[in-house]
Amino acid sequence: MKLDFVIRGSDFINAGEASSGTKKALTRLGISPKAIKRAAIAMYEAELNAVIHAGGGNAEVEIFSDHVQIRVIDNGPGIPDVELAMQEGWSTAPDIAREMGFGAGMGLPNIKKNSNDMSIETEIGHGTTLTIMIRF
Amino acid sequence: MVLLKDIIEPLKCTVLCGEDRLGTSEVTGGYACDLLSWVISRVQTGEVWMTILSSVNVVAVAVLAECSCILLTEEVTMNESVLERAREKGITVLSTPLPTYRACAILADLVDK
Ligand SMILES: Nc1ncnc2c1ncn2[C@@H]1O[C@H](COP(=O)(O)OP(=O)(O)OP(=O)(O)O)[C@@H](O)[C@H]1O
Ligand SMILES: [Mg+2]
Repeated sequence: MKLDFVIRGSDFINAGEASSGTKKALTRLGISPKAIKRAAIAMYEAELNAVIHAGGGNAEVEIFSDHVQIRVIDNGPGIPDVELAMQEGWSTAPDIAREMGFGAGMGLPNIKKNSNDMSIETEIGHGTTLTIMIRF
Repeated sequence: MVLLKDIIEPLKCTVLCGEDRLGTSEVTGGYACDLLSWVISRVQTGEVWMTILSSVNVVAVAVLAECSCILLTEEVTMNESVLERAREKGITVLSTPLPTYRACAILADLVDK
């Protein structure tokens, strides 16, 4: 089963709809609530990074019998230092995002914590693709 | 077992939405923080999330983290469009004039006894 979502940049009102849609699909399939929570959290963080840092993008979700693969793709500025970005507390979130409670620098660490596998492909000036795998 | 309805009076709460869940939602504890990703990482299912944030993203985080409710402290209110989203997503929102510190102390007393 495949799901596709468009993520609009700087749209904080609808931010989270892709992960919420994925959560619904997994719930309908009867996946364990713990795995659904991990997938929803990881995808929400990835989605919000596309909203805040990359001017939006899109998400492709593929659901298999024993795992789900979530890919969030953007054409944003890329991440200059992935190792630094992965550290808890590192954030370049703009003030407008911080005023809403984003910018703890915990999103990427949360994705790592909640997924069985994650990988980041990024190129400066071209964009970032984050791939997350959650086992049920 | 502590239910949402048991914390309303001691915490001087106004119910902004989700009245129907007060008698059924169990309160397992509390968590106070205003950084969304931090909350997502730390808050446990069934906890009362105390915050002064009231943008629409707060609702998304409460759903993800499976909080028993959002408790807006320090007289913070929530605008109607955000409350509408909370109703849609099935999240109870309470507000109190108490400072966060006081609210935590009272809640801890109720839940941990
Ligand atoms: N898709 C992306 N495009 C460009 N930069 C990104 C992207 N995702 C993350 N980053 C960079 O990595 C940093 C850390 O990301 P992370 O999600 O951990 O924290 P944050 O988004 O700043 O804050 P939080 O997620 O806690 O609200 C970001 O501040 C940003 O500099
Ligand atoms: Mg983030």
